[in-house]
Amino acid sequence: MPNVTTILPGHENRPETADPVSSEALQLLVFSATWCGPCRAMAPAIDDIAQDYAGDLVVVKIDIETSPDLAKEFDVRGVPTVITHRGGAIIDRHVGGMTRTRLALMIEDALKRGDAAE
Amino acid sequence: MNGMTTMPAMVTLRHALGMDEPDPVTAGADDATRLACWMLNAIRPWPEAARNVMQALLMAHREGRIGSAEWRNLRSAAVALSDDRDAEVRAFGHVAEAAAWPLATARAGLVEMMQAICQLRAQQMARATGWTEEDEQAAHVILAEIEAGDGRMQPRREDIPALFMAANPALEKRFCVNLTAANAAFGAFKAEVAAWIAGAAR
Repeated sequence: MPNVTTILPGHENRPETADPVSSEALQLLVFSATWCGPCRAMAPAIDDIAQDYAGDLVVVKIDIETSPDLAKEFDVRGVPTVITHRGGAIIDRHVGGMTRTRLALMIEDALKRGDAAE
Repeated sequence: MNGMTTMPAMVTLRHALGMDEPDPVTAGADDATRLACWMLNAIRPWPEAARNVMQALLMAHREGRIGSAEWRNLRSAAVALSDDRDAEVRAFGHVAEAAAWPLATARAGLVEMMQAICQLRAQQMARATGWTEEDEQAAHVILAEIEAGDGRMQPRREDIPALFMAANPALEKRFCVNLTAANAAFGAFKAEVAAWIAGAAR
């Protein structure tokens, strides 16, 4: 089962607590906005990626307008912004739309870095 | 594609309409596969630098029997194209990236291909209007300066076209021509895909 969490307004469920093991699991933070065309265009690819890496990845969807503090905390200056994140540390970030192929490369790279660190 | 399309009456009608012969390899395939192949064929001619990758992707979807390692190789080749120095090759690379997944496990596959081709068609139309990468960069510089305002206040969104025109009237005029044509080309491919789907459903 893909592990996807949508951060609710007020972000009571922050990325760190979105999943019981998320502090150790690799997270893909996806910052978007309802008015953002490229965000909508990328949404099916995000869902495919969540499915592809179901055992290795927690996808966290964050609306910058309902969670502005999180957007500020992660220095989000445009949408979509995609961040790989693990154990409180940012591994990589990308601003702008991405294909499923580029998302997969980003995840593979983050997973390799995680393996190397262990 | 069903047997009807090979009947002489249909062949004659296709010729009368100036339409290509149906692809015999995808006859009987599911709609998603046929649509993916149609989209890849719709952007011919492929640039020389992209030809092998596009051909391999077309064959991969037509035959549908390649394994995950081969799909991964196709994705690597697609990424190399979309990192190319030539803007048109990069645009084909984006299409290739979208197409380099087996459709059976890709909910995003066809949507991504369509969007990448819309952008490719918009880019090709922009070039056809005479709009260059240098024009694009010059427009971005002007628009960034306008957006920055006077350092205290940013202009209202609706004031930006007039400010662009004041800064560089000739470029603004060409920018508008380019934008209108590119947007039309972008939307036209979506309409083509919708027409294809509507036709397949009849």
